[in-house]
Amino acid sequence: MGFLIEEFMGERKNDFVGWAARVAAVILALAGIVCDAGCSSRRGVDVTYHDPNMDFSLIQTAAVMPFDNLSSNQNANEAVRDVFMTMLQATGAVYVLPPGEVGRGISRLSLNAPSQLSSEETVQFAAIVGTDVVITGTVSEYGQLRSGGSSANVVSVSVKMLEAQTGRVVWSASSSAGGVSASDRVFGGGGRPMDDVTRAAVEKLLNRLFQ
Amino acid sequence: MCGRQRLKTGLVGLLAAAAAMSLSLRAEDAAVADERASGALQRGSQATRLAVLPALDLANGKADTLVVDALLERRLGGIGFDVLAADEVLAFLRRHRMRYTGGMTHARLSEMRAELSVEAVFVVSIDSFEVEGPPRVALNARIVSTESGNILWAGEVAAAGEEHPGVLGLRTVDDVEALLEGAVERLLAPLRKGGLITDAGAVEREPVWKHRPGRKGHRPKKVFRAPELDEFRERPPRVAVLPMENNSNNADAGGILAGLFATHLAGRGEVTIIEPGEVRRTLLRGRVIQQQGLSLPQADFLREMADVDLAVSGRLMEFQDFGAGTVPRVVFSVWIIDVRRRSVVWSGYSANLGDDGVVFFRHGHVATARALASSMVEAAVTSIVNGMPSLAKVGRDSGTR
Repeated sequence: MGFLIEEFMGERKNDFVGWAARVAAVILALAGIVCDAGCSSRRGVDVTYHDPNMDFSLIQTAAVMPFDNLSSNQNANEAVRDVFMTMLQATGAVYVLPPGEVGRGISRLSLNAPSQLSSEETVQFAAIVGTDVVITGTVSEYGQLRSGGSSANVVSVSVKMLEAQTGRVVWSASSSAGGVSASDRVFGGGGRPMDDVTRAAVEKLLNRLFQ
Repeated sequence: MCGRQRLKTGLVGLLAAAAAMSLSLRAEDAAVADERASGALQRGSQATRLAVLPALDLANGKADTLVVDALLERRLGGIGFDVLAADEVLAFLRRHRMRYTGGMTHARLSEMRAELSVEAVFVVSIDSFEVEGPPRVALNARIVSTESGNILWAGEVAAAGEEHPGVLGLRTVDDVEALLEGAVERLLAPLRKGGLITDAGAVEREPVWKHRPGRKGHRPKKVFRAPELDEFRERPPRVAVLPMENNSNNADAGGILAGLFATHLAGRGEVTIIEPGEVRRTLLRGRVIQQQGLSLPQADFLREMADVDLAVSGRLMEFQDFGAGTVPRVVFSVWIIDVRRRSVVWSGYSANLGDDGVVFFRHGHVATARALASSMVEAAVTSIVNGMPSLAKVGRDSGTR
């Protein structure tokens, strides 16, 4: 009887081991998929430049120029610019000139490409509107990104800060937010709303400005 | 009679007495309300003489303005106003070559008072008017004094046939006229309750009425607010709402958004809204063309010509109304410039969908972009004025009331 029980348990034990091995293999495979998915999702790529000779604490006023738009959404540049201006102003560290004042400066100088200023144009513009720095930007992505059967919103934006006195670039950064995350890929879901993603991308930029 | 019967009789008697008392109180309340309403609308023994301007069509040319005008005149007369005949109003407009009926300048108000003996003008815009699929209507209105040029009352309403579908859609409204009747009823309801304050003392005191705080989920996503906005001032700041830059697909949406801001800012003790018609006249007179917003020299001009303290300007990026059964989307940025300090004192970015915050059975769903915009503006205005000293509070503190 004991022998029979032992034989029975042995068989069960082998079945269990086989089952456990199969489960472990599935888990490892899933983990591999998840990691791969994680690698392909956006994590806010960091590219930042700080001029070591610039004393950023002297900046009191900033003018944010209209952003360039490389995305397929017509209003992407203005949406991102407005969010950037409001969030920058909300930090309390810098006063942001109203957009109408920026428009006045652009009109005075008849600037054709206000998002791509030369050093001379930067100096002239800053003198007209009375600002310490001029900020330009480009929205390279703004919309839905599809990956396999999933889709999510993504925003990519790069920004430069030019000093008023010399027109030199003293800070630049780019960031992106949103995209198809690992959980979206595995469990489905449409990702975060566009406005959340926009604010997240801008917040990353501002964090890099003040770090 | 046994004890139990006596108790029953007593209870029935008590219930009957309570019911009678309740009925009489209600009748009294109604009488008081009617008296208050009629009192508020009357000066001496006469009802307030009111001229109703032809409605301004902001519904991309789809509105049936004649139907709306006739309905408003009828309903305002029913409330207790002495409504001027439409022919006389049209004759006045022709005489003075007035084509724009979305606002009145102070000069025109004085002329209307002198020539037509009217005490107030009813200004209305039709923000939405869809006849089919189900119907949608939206109105934005205000009453302006011809004596002082002050806004005595402002209100707005948005209604959609599919707003309250009920079980199996049995309560869906398919007829635009029925929907319009209900909307006008809701719009003018505060006037029925005696909400209109007469012009007595309006030079020193602006009329103030209750406002809702706005839905939490429709508050601006990001806000900057300068502490200068909450500083004590000798008088409530005079606010000019400027035309908004419109990047949406709806050609009239910029005007709709500006109108909503004017309506929701009116009647607050914290600010005094300048009649939009007067703001328009000032901008035209100075040939002020906003490029991406108000510039500081333009703000200086407003201060000199219209005694403006705060200028509200903004940009509307999306005003999507896809039709019945879809989700509207509205996105806008607004900033307020303190004209005297020449600086931005408030800026906000708002973006919402019609189904934001909806969890169960479309409860809280907003059916149209116009209604969504109104809710968002209401929440933004609450964010602006909260913290500012109130006229009423100033009055109480200074003991002038």
